[in-house]
Amino acid sequence: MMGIKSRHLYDRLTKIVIDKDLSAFNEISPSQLIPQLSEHFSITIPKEIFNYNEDQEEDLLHRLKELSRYLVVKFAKRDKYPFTIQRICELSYHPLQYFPVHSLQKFVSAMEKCCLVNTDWTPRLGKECPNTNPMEDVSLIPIEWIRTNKEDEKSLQAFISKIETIVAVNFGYDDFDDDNEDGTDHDIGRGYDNHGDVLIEEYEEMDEEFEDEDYEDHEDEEEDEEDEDNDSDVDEMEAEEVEEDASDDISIGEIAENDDQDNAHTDVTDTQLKYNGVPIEEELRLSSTSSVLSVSSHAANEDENESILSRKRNVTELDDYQYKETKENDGFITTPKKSKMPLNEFGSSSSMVSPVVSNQEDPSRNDDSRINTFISPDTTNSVTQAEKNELSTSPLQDKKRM
Amino acid sequence: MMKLDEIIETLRQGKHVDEDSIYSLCVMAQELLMNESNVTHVDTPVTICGDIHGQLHDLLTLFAKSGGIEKNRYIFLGDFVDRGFYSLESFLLLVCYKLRYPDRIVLIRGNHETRQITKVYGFYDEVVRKYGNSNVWRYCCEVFDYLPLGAIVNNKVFCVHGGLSPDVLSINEIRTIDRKKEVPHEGAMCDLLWSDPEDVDTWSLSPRGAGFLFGQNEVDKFLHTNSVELIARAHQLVMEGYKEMFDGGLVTVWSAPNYCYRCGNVAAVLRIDDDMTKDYTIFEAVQARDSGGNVILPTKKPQMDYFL
Repeated sequence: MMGIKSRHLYDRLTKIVIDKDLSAFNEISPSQLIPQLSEHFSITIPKEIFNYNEDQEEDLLHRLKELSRYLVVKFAKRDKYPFTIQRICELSYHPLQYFPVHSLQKFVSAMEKCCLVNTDWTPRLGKECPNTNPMEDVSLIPIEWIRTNKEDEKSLQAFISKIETIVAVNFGYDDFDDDNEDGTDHDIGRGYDNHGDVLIEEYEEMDEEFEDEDYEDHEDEEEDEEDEDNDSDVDEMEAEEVEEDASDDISIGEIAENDDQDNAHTDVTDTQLKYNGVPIEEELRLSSTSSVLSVSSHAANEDENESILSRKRNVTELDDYQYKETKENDGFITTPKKSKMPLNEFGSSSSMVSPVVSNQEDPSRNDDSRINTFISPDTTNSVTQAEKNELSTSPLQDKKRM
Repeated sequence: MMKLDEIIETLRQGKHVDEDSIYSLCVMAQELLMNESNVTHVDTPVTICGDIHGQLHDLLTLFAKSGGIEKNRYIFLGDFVDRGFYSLESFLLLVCYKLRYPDRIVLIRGNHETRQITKVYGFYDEVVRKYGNSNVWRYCCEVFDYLPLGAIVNNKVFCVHGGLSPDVLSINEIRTIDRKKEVPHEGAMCDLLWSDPEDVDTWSLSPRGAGFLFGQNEVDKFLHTNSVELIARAHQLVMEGYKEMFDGGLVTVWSAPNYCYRCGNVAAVLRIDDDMTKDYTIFEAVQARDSGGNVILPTKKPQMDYFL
C-alpha cells in the first residue's frame, strides 16, 4: 500500500494518481480527504518512508506540519481543494519515485511549492464558451436569451404596433409627413438587406431634391433618378414591387394589398414576413435574367397604380426608381444579398418592426441589436459593461473571472 | 472549459486554446510565480535550458531528449517567445507544466519577456494573428512581470538569462529588487537580462544598447563573493549549443536548434546531477513536414521581418 496506512486513502490516491481519474475529487469532500492526506505526508512519509534523521531534520518535520495546517485552514475548512491537488497526491502517493530515500529535504521543498497556493481546484479551466470555434466571427452567433424570451418579443411587437397605429395615422395621406414615410419605407427595405448602410445618405439627398416632383409627375423622375446611383433603395423597391406584382392580376385585391403595405408594420407576423421575404429572392433572380420582362410588367404596374395614387403615390414613384437601379446593379446586389441571407432570416422577425427605432439608431447596426435594446436594456448594458472590463489595462488584476 | 491535462495535450499539438482558458492559466501562473523569490532555490538533479524562442516542436524534442517533465526538474533561462512561430504555445506549455508540476519547473525571465520587445519581435503579432485581438498577449505579459530573475541550484550554480550587473555584487542584492514590473532600460534588473560575457578587462558598453559586457575578472569576483561554482546563462546564439568560458566559470546554453529556422545551429541542455557533475545533451531541429501538425512555417510573412 505504498506505506499508506488508511486503506481508504490508498484506494483514493491510486485512483487519482495511477488511473488519473480526477472525478475522485468530486466524489470525496475536501474536508475528508485533505486531513487524511496531510496526516500521511506530514507524519507517515517523513518518518516511515524516508530515512528520517531525528537530530538534523526536525525542522523539515515542522515545515511539513506547517503545510498540513495550511491546507486544512485554507482549503479543508472551506471544503475546497487547492488547484495543485493532483500534484500533491502524486508526490504523496509515491515520493520515492521522485526523490532518493535520503533526501527528505527535497520532498519538503517540492511539497511547499505545491501546497502554498490560494486558488481553488476546478475540474476545468475557463468558463463555458458557446462559441466552440474561437476563430469564428463572434457577431454571427445568436445570443441565447433572445431566442428563449419569445413572450418578450411578442409583447414588444404588440407594443410597437400600437405605436405604429398612432404614428402612422397620417402617413400616406399627408404631404408634410413625406420624410417620415420615406424613412419608414427605407427601413422596411433595409430590413431585408443590411448592406445598404453606406448609401443611405445618398438616398436622403435624393429625397430632398425630388420631394416635390415626387408628387407631381413621376414620369419625369425616371430620367432624374437614372443619374443618381443609389443602391440602398433597391431592395426596398423590390419589396414593394413584389407586392404589386402579386396584385397585378387580382385587381380587386389591389387595395387590400396596398393597405397591407402601408400598415405593414402594424400587423407584423412571422407568416407575412416569410411571404415577403421569399418572393424578393425570386424577384432578384428574375430581374437579373429577364430585364425586358420586368420593364413591361412594371409599365403595367404604373397604369394600375394610378387608381390608388392618393395612397400609393410615393411608393409607385419609388418603384420606377427601383426598377432602374435593379437593372443596372444586378450582379452587385444579388451576391451580397444571398450571402447575407442566413443573418437576415434570423433577424427578419424584427425587421418590420424597426422603423420606430430607426430614427435614432445607427444604420449599421443590425436588427437584432435593435430589438435587444428594446427588450431588456439592463441585460444589454451588463454585457457591454463586461466587454469594457475585458479591455481594461491590467487584465489579470482587475477582474476575477474564475 | 478544459482540464489542465487536456490543455497540455492541445498545446503539444500546436492547437488553439480558447481565450478564457488562457486567462485562467495566467491567473494561476501569476499566483505561483508571486510566491517565488527573485532568485529561487532549485534542487538537483536539474536540467538547465536556454532560449526557446517559440520553437514549439524543438521544445517538445527538448523534453523528449532530456527525460520529460514528469521525472525531471527543469530550469528555463528565459526567452520563451518571439521569433519562432509558436511563441504562444511554447510559453503556455511551459506555464501549464508549471501549474501541473509546480515542483518540477522554474521559469526565469529573459529579455524578450517584456511588452516592448514582444511587440516588435513577433509574439504580439502572433497573438493578434491567432486571436484577432491582443487580450492573450496582455495576459501573458502580466505573467512575464512575475517571472523570477534568476535561480540557484544547490547554492552552487547561479542561473540567469543575460549575465552580471555592475550594480550587483551578491545574489542577495538581486533578492532586494522589486521585480514585478516591466523590465527597465537600465539598472540591475535590466543588466541581469541583457548583459553578455566577453573578453574584456572590465565592465564595457554592450553593443545591444542595454546591459554590459563583462569579463573573467567580474565572473571570478562574483563566483568568489557568492561561493558559487558556475554561472549558467543563455541569451546568445551558440552554434554548438553550449559554450564554456572563463575556465569553466560561466556557460552559455542555447536551446533553440536551427534558430529562426535558418541559423543551422544545434541546441543543448545542461544537466546538473546530485554530485554537481555537468552533462550536456545536444539535439537538432525537428524537420519541417508538410503534414502531421508540424508545418513549421505556417505563414507567408517574410522571416526577414524579425532580423535586425
